[in-house]
Amino acid sequence: MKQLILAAAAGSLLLASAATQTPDADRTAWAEHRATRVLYAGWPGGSREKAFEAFLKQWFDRVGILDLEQLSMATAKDWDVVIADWCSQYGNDGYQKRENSLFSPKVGIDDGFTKPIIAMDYVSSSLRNRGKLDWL
Amino acid sequence: MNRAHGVRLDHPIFQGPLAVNVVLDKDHPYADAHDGQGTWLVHEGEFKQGCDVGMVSDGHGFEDSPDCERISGGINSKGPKAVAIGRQANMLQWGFYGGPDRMTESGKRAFLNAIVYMKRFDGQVPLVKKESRARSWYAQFVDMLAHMKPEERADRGERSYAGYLLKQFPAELTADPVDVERLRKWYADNEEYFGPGKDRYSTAIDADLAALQLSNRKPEFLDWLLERFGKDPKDEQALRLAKRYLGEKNGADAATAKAWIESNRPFLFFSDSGGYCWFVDTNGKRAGKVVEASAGRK
Repeated sequence: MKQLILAAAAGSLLLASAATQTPDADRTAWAEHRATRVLYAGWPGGSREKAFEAFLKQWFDRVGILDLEQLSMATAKDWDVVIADWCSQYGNDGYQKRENSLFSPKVGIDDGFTKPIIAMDYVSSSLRNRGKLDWL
Repeated sequence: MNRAHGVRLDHPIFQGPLAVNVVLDKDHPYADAHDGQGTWLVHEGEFKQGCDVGMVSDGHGFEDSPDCERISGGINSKGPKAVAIGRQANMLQWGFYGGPDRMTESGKRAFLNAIVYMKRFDGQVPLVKKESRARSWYAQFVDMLAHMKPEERADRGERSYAGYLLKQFPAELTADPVDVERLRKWYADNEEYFGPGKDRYSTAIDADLAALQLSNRKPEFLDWLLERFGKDPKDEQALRLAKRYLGEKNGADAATAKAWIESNRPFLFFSDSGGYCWFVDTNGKRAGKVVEASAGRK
């Protein structure tokens, strides 16, 4: 019985916590971060690019779009954070189905690339040779 | 993989600026983890049902360099230590396939927080490259064998998983019937003496370290070198170990090794995955931040 009461109390706490996440609270918490300049570098014209662009523009005032294969320190210089993305490997979400080889973007960054970067899915493997973020 | 396991809920990406309500669902545990923990649904859609599988990185030795942090694992086939969300220097891997059109509300919020979090790593570069398999893989091999049925462990066929796992251990320990506790003891007895093997997928017990009962990854190793070189700069065993674990250049001779250790001491760390070697935390040195635990990191 004691466990049931505790579980119910914990459940109430979770609901209370969720209830405090109002749009106003988000707006206040996020205000200073809207100015973060975010560059999305992905598969040009793909469905993922569209989804990311729409999403990021809800939260950031400056959002850039780039072909991942064009990513370099020069193309990233005006941005605070880069999101590196590519395509489905299985023909999902409107991307073509691969035959015998993986879809690997022709891009690589060396130690001269010092911009913060978030690599989606398997993209870290392509970006940095022998990094710890790799499928091996 | 659309669920995270072993989530570090105290990590900044779950703390703000946006509130993130991560629900760990115990009705969807990660069976291979055998821990009964709940998992977090990061995005909708599952592999082979219109969704890609995602990617995890090797979690063994991942945090043995101070440029890395594991934020969560995921339900995957590499094991519970694998890294689904993790960072090395200025790069964060979000190993889940689902984009914002598939992410759950909590997934979106953690992702947005991650963008904010990453800004602080502007200018950082990786401290090590992945060169070796870390020693803690052996602990996982033992655990995997322990969870097999006796008949599964006895299968030594060409394509048998037990056969593959048992080949990683000395042959004299793996005769049928396999004594898993004996393997576990062997690892515990030798854990501090692993060094590089013949290639990046193998390791070997270092006979010098074992004879000396000296860990290669604890600060005591550096003290031992300094003491031995203080007594005899030509000490062959010390020279051998200095070259092996400080690197050919930094351990070239007693004077070079001593100077390198003394000038970098607060910033030194040992990395299995970086090639079983001591390295300098150059990011920390630039920022004047001392390595918190230079040895025995996971």
